[in-house]
Amino acid sequence: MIFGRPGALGLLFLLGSLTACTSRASTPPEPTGAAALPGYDAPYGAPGFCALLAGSTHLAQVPSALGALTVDPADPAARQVLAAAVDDLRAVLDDVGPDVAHAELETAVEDLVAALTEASGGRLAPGTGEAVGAALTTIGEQAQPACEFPT
Amino acid sequence: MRVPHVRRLPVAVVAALGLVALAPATASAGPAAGLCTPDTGRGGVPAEFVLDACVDGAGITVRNSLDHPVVVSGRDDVGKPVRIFSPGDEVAAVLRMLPAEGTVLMPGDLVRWPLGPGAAAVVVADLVPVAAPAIAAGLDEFLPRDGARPVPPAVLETFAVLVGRIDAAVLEWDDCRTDRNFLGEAACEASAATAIGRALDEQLTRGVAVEAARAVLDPARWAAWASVEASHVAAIPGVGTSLQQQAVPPPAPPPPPAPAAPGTTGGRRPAPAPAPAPAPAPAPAPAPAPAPAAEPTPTQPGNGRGHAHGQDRWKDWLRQVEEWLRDRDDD
Repeated sequence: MIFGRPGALGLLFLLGSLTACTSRASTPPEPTGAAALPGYDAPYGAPGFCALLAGSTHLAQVPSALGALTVDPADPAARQVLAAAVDDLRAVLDDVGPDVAHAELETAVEDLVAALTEASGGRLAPGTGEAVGAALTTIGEQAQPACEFPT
Repeated sequence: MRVPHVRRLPVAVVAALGLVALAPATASAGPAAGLCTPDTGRGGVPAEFVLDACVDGAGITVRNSLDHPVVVSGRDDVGKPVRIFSPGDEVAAVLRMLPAEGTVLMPGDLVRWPLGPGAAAVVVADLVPVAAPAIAAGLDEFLPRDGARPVPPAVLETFAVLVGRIDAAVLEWDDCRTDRNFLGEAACEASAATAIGRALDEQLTRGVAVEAARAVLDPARWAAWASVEASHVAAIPGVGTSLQQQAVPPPAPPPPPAPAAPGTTGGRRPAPAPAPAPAPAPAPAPAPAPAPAAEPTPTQPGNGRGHAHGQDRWKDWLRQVEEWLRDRDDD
């Protein structure tokens, strides 16, 4: 035996501590929700916003949050969901950029961001639900040719 | 049409009716003599009629012997329905208040439709919306209950309105999401959630609405409600959904008046009601010769009370026949 028992225990403790520290440091933050479209595999050459939309963890929760805010505009959990969805959508906007081919998509995402931002601030205008629905419809239609989402 | 609830029937009568209504429903519905004293003079209950029913000439009594609600509507000369027995809980009471083209009959409900003299019928149809029982059951826990006190009718009616609004939003959502990608589906969900949230907000108090929203704003529930299929009572093999009653036949003509004997001045039988005294003759005139036996020809005023009474009866009969024909034409 090369090492004595106390030395081996000390080495094991050191290794264990290092592993634990490394694990904590590399663990990604807990996901706040499931992806909007789990298992989505973007077609070859598809723009980045396809994966961003499909991977959004808050878009799917927007409808129920809107319903909850209709009943109680101050609902903190619902407002938080909308604020998080806005963050997801800003990433989409960054990816779409100034590409004229996706101008309508960009406008619809901007409209959605505006509506959700207002609602997340506790101001639910009478037409907010309809505005969100219209924007999501347009985004879905405009993204479909490039992203080929399942229907 | 809102059906008034029968509230103050004596306890014994209610208990007796309850026993009748709670009697085990027959496997095949149709004539149910225990529901009334049958009189099939205007037509009987078809053996294949989908519900238990009884006719007595003056009304049609129907019991929903199925295990799901139906809507029964009166046709032609049918009066306002009267609920005789309405078993079940508050959810059943909510469903009875749904706006329907007829009267909602929950399982076990006993209702009587009074009949006029004209032709009449009752027709059975499915309850629409078909998902109403499931939606109402989903809202059951939010009904404000106060011990043994019954939930006020106004509250039940509010929930009935809510059931209708939720159903409309769910049907629209289900129709909207067809052939859409996940973003399009989210759009449909947003519209439905907003519509349902608005309905909750308008119909319920804030606290109850918030609680109900947590339970109702769930697309999985919507999918379950949207997939409820109609019972299609009209499509059940071998059953009929219509119960017809014929018009009351016109009154039989009275026997022709007997000729007045010459010189007679009074009837042979007293009139059923006091008859006015015969008007005096405008001018004295001799009595004509007696008419032939079967000829109801008019006679001069004052010429015999019996003959005049027979003529009145003929006129009455003719007037009744004319009215009956006019009613029939109107129908």
